[in-house]
Formats: sequence, C-alpha cells, structure tokens
Amino acid sequence: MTTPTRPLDRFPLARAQDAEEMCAALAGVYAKPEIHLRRGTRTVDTVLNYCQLKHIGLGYTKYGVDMGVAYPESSLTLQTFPIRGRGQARVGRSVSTLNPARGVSISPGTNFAVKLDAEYEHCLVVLNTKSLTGKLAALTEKPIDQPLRFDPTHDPAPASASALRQHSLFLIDSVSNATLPDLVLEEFQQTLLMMVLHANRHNYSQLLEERRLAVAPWQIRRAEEFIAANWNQPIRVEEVADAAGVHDLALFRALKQRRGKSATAFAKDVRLSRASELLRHPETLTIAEIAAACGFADPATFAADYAKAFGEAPSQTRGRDGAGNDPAKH
Amino acid sequence: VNAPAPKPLDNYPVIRSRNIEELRDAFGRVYAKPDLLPGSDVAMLDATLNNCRLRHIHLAYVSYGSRVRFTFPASGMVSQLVPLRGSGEIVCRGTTVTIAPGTGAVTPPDVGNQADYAADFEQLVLRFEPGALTEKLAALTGATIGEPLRIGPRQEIRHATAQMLQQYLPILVDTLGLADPPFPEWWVVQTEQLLMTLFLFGYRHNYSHLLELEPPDTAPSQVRRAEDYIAANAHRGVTMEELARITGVSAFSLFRSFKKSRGYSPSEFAAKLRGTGNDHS
Repeated sequence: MTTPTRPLDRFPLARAQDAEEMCAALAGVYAKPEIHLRRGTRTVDTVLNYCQLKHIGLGYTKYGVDMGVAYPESSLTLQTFPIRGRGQARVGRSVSTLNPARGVSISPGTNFAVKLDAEYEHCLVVLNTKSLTGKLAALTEKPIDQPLRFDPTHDPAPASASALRQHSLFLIDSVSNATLPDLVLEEFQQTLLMMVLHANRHNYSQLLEERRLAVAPWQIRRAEEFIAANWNQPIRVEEVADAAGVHDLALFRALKQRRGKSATAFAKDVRLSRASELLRHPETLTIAEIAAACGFADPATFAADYAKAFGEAPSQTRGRDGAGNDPAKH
Repeated sequence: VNAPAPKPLDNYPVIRSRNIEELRDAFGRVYAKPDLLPGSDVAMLDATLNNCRLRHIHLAYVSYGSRVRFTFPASGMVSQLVPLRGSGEIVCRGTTVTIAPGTGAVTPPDVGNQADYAADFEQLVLRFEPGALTEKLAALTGATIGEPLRIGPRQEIRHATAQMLQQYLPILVDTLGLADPPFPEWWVVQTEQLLMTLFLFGYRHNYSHLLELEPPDTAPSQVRRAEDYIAANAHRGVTMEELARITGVSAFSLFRSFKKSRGYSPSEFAAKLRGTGNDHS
C-alpha cells in the first residue's frame, strides 16, 4: 500500500515513534526541543523530512499526537507554515494561534513554545542567519551590527505574509518533485531571504522602508523621459510615477531634490521651452495656436507663465527671433 | 449591470474594450501595434489587456473574447507566451507553433509574428528586454556574450526549470495582485533576477551549453523508481535484487547512482522510512 506523498518525502530525516529520537532529529535541523506529551501517551508518530540547501533548509513535520514543544534559543532563523491542524504559539510574551493561515517567525536568539493537536502538520524554512544578514546588508546598503530581531507583537502585513507562504510552499513543492540546477536554487533562495525580510516586522524594517521610498536614478530618468514624450499633453503626477514604477510622493520628492522643482513644474518647463522653440520658428502659427499646441488651454495664462520663465512676453520672442530669422523677410 | 469577472493583473489595467481600434492602440502603447488579419471576429470582441512593468521585464495578461488574427511587428522584446486557457497558433520565422495551456512559445525581439487565437484563449506574456537577458547570461556563465541570444519560437517545457517557471507565474501574478505597488526597488530587482534565471535555464537557446556545464544531476529515473518502490513496501524489507529487477539496472550501478544523487544508500533510505535509524539490513 502506498502512502500519499507528503512534501519532501524524497528527503526523509526521521520516522520516529520514540520521542527522544524525534527530539534528536529536530536538534539536527534547528534546536533540541523539550516535549510534553499527554498523560498516558508514550509514543509519537512523527514524520520529519528535510532538505538542506546552501542558505536555507526546507522541511516538513507531522508530530502525530497532541503535544507541547518548547524550543530553546537557536542561532538560526525559523519560519513555519502550518498546512493542517491547529495549535498555539508563544513567542516571548505574545501568544498567537497556529492554523493554515498563520505560522510563526522566530529570529535568532529567541525561545518559543507551541501546543499542537494530533492533526497538525507544517512546512518550515530554516534560514542561515549569516545569509539573511548578508541579504539585509545588501538591501539596506548598510553594515548590520545589531542582530536581526523580529517583533513578535507585530502581525505581518497580510499581503507580504501570504506572498512569503506561497513562495516557500512553492519552492518546497518544486524541490519535492524535481532536481533543479544549483543556480536556479540559489536565485530562489535569494528571493526567499528577501521576502522573509520584507514580510516580518523587525529592527531594520524602518531602514528598508526608507530604501523603499528611495528613487533610483533610472527611475528619475524614466520619469523625465515620460514627461518629455508627452510634452504636449497635460500630465498627472500619478501617471509619471506609474511610468517610472515609483510611489508618486517619492517621485515628487526625488524630482524636487534633483531639479529643485516638482514633476508638474518640470513638465510645464518642458512645454514652455517647446513653445519658445516654436515662437522662434519662422512658421505661421499664431501665439494662441502655439499655446494650445503646447498644452496651455488659456493664452493669457500661457503669456504670464512664459514671461515668468523667460523674462519676456511670447510676442517679444517672436518679434526678435521669429520674424528676424524668417528668410521671406530678407 | 454585472461587474465584469476579475482577471489576472486587474490592478495593472491597460484596456478593457470591445473596440478593435482601441485595442490595437493599447497594444501599441505597451508592446507593438498589430495589424488585423482576415478571419477575425471583431464584432464579438471583448478584450482585456493588463500589463505590469517591473523594470526590464513586463508581465501582461490578455484575453480577446472572440477569435482574433493579428500580425505583430517586431517588438524589441523577447516574449514568453504562457497560455492559460484555449488554444492558439503563432507563426514566427516560418515556424508554426500551436499553443495551449501546458505549452508555450517564445517570440524574438527582432522579427514579428502572426497570431491566431481562439475566442476562449487567455494568456500571460512575460517580456524581457534583450539587453537584460544578455547581462544575466554573462553573469551566470562568466562568458562574454557576443552573438545575440537566439531562442524559440518552439519550446520544450520538459525541463524541470521550464515547468517551474510556468507554475511560478500564477504565484507571481497573485503576489503582484495582492501587494500594494510600487514595489521597493530591491524587490523588483530580485524578482527580475529570478525570472531571468528560470527563463535562461528552462528553455533551450544558443547559449544553453554554457549553463549545462554545471552538472545537471537530475537524479536518474531508476533512483526515483527505486525510492517509490521502497516507500510502497516500507513495511517489509526490500532486497537489492528486487530493486535491480524493477529498475532494470544492476544492483551495483543502482547502489552507486543512489549514493551519488542522494548521499545515502537504498538501505539507509529504507531504514529512515521505517524510523529505525541505523539499520544495515
């Protein structure tokens, strides 16, 4: 009789009836726990699968009986993803329920305890702390001198927690079913390291958030390209921000910092200089037509903005350069 | 009035339209403007085009609601087509490729293609700037990439990495749908690195041989078969001779490939399954 395939069945670590044997296997993966069985229960029915990659380990655990498990501090970072059953977790002083929508995030140097029912099964990701802080240093571009600490009282944002769960279970599923090239595994591990840092609230979250609102030079370039390409249309900041792939507030700030003016002011400058070029051209567009062509609905506003920007009225530019350069007048 | 059914990437809308001219213009804005070919049923058109731009990579969703036949000009992008429903046909560089869920095609940046899509056809399109792919390829192989990347249009998706990419895209679509854009720059950069790695390893191209220098070490199918057999008979002892018989290779060679791909022997595997630790039977 074939048992249905469980995650990572290709990587069996233990099939234990003996509680002590189960604890020894868990010690090899994360830390040696202390367990509490119900009175009258003598054996466990544990399935433990584990696949060690370079930066992270992927695991699956079924304990098989009601039990309490208390883990001491570990130098590793742990992320669990319950897939069946129910439980309760205590991390520091905060208590939370364990169910398929919610696991635990344990940073290094933190002890925790769980109470699980017999149905309980979870997948887990154990992260090498050096790889994780290495990723953090790369993302923040700052040295990491204080150890990373998750805030157990802070629920992760639902969107990023769900993305982390989906990505983790997907990698576990992929590894369960196929042997993948090392470089593919490396890239996926980097993605998970990043998502763990993104999904959990920790003592470096603020720094990461600042980097999130930072605007890269290529994004400013893309915003300016967008503005220049749409110079003859009224532009909304949201559209520009969208084209550059940044937060509009962040873009607004970045442009202001770099150019000393807002995106709308920058767009107006582009349109005014285009108008100025047209005025110098020996073509027969009227000033009102030029204003309209450059996205100014009202010629009077155009004249006022123009005078403010160039220190002369549109008619003066035309009179001096436009008419003067007209070959027909010579 | 019923709200229209939600589609993948709806939070990155380009257009939702019944008008073929509007749709062509919308394609022109984010991709390349196609010409309509005879045989299209534009009267029944009910098209959706969504497009999420990361940095050097775009992920688009498109459905038409009626049969359409287009000629697309060269788009300057390497486009990976990932059908979700229905079927279609792509003609590119004189090759005709039929596509449906579970298969795919890739169109190169420098030539156009003809597309013929059934009314129920829906697909995701992953588009890469060729320069970004070349840069990633150079980083992965350490080689100088002179000649441009040549890939497709026909694709084998038997490779585990190709399947991984196909299964990963719906998860990425979910993530992009749930999260609140814009994404941090570092999130975008890492996601693009992952997509390019999966793409370059998953599909055959003129530089594949450089990536295969790394031993692919797909556990031989005999090892998988032996594992399944051991697991199915975990309650009793399985002899090496039995394993040799069901896998069709010699006991010695099975032992060796087991040890090489898994790091332990078949009997150690059986012992772990029985939970008896160190059993040398």
